[in-house]
Amino acid sequence: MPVPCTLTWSMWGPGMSESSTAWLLDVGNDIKIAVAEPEMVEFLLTPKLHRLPLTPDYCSHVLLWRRLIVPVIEMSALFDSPTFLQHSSALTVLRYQKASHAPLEYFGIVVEKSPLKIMVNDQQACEGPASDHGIWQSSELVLAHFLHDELPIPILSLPYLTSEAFRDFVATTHPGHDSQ
Amino acid sequence: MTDVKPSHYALLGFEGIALSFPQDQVLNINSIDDMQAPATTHQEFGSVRHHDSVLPVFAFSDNLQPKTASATAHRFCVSFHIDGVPSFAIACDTVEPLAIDQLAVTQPLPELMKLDVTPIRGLLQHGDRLALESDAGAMHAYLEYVGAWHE
Repeated sequence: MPVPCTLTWSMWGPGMSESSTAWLLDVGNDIKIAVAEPEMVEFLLTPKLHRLPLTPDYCSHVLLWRRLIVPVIEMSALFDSPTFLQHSSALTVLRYQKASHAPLEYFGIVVEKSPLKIMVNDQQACEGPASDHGIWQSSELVLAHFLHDELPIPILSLPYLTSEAFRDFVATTHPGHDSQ
Repeated sequence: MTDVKPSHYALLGFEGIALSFPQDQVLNINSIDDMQAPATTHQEFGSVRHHDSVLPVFAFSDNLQPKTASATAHRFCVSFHIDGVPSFAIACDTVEPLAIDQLAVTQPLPELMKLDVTPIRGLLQHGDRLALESDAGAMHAYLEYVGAWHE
């Protein structure tokens, strides 16, 4: 499925003709994603996570953080591979808004390495890999790609990633991944 | 409809899970030694008597799958009513009261974590502890859905 070849996006600043700062997150299985600098809140090396029964595989833990109960997403649970939460549970706390005046919402995403700060601009925009399948086929999830170290990096829609619609999409495209 | 949050909960502990119920839905707390054989031949779960009622006793795995309670694995069985009618009991290792105060935070289960049928209505944080918030009606509906409930 074609994806828009522009990186212009409200959280990335007014246009991308000049470089914007982003964070590169390694979410496991050699998969990297990018989030805008304002979306990153905190990196936690050894957070205490609480598992909840009867929840989707990719979001089965919560973090108690600043008097909030924050859901934690584990992208590697969506890649037909063992989850690595048992032996590595570093995570980043991210924030987003569903609309410009909506309250900030928070969630955690499990990462394998420390986030890397990078600069991105429109000249790096590229198509997604032709081999993309599964969740990467969702144009609602993947807003755009850019080239970094010769690899296409997806920019994800955080409101969609944390939505019921994405949960239902996963249940459809990843049968067996929808319950603990 | 106004959803008035309870101010007092009963906190049941088992399999590393803390499951909270509104305290006013608790009928009784028995020793697991009071558990009897299943009340009817088609039931697989034990039972406990509460006055003239015989209530099924459910235990749960760490993934909230119903299983048979046992005197070696559990210490208590807590009986619940629904709208005044004695309904069921849950076997657990610990049971303690919890009063909501300034240290407590409750919130609904995040939408992305909700499956079609779950007895978990929300989450309750008290200090660095986290409990799953349920109620007798939601648990009854869940037990029916997973086929554990036999009238």
